[in-house]
Amino acid sequence: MARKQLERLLSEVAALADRLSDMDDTLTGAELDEMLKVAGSDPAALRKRLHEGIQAIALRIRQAGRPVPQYLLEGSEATAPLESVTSVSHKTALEKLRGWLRGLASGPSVLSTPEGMRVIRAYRKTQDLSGEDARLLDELEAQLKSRSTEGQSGGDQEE
Amino acid sequence: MADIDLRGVDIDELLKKLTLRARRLYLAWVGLTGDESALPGLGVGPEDLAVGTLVRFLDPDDYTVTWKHSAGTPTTVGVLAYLRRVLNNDFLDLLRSKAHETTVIVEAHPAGADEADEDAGSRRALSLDGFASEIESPDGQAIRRVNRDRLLARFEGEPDLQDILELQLDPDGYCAYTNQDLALLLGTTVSEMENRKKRLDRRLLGIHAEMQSTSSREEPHG
Repeated sequence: MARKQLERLLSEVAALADRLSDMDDTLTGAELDEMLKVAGSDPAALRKRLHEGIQAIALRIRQAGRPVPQYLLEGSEATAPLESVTSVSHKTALEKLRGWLRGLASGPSVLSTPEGMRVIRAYRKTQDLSGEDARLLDELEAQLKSRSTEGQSGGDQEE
Repeated sequence: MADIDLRGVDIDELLKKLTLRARRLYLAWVGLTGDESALPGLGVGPEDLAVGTLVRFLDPDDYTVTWKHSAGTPTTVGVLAYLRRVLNNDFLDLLRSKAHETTVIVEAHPAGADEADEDAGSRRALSLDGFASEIESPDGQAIRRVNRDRLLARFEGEPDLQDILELQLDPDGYCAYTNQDLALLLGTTVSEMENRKKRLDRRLLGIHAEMQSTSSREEPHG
């Protein structure tokens, strides 16, 4: 009987988590990073942990004298810190660049100034951007605008 | 997992969304039981769970989490849906395996007692099994109502978010509404509904992070 009630409680936990997660698939990359930070998770530290996990698997495979699968090499490349990457695929290079841009926009940097926003806007208007990159720049602009609005209202309150 | 083509999968996105999912499972647990203190006792945090799930998926020698070739070429959406199920099961298995030793601290409010009367309540420690057994009793229902009201009270200054949370906490009510239904019901637009849900998400995750840090300051874990 107690086991049945425990199972019911656990399925309620899972169902509530589902209801709380129903917007997760609509989050933009920038919103996802922001949510993680609010929740207390540092995206860079997470990536580092995953990279270490992948490295450990690759090492174990090499030590067993077997070839490391291609997907694992790509995963290691995708999660490696920018400074340690010596050669990357086109796809990984673009992903890293996008992550780097998001990182720049989320902290104090030249991109988080009105001038930075104007540069983003001007670049966004060029026709040679992929849909994904155009969306990324729109995301960054929205993020910077929202931060600037929050900053202004915060300043007003202090005055 | 045997060699597989993951070129269509964004590992970074998987990692972040799985971590968020793990955090929501912990948050859901606290939302129902009102108790944060039991979770550190599990010995595994949300980030451990998310990273561990992904590492198992990527490990060619781990056959417990594998992508079946019959499921077609892996995509970010497909792999994420699969790994969310794995992560859910791992979390629930963890709670099951620790049900006897995991202690839940509840503030007992005897059935019929006035919730506002603080003297009516007292703190009790129950095993997770014991807690589950009590949950449907009048006392158990009272405990859950107190937990729910306490969470809702944190949104007193934000009635637009409180309304949505109230529905989310109600297993029967929430699933009955799409964002379009909710927008109609609350006299707003679908995009405003989505924005409100995202604001609520952010607030809930922040509240949970705050509870976690309070709990880890108050209780030394071994």
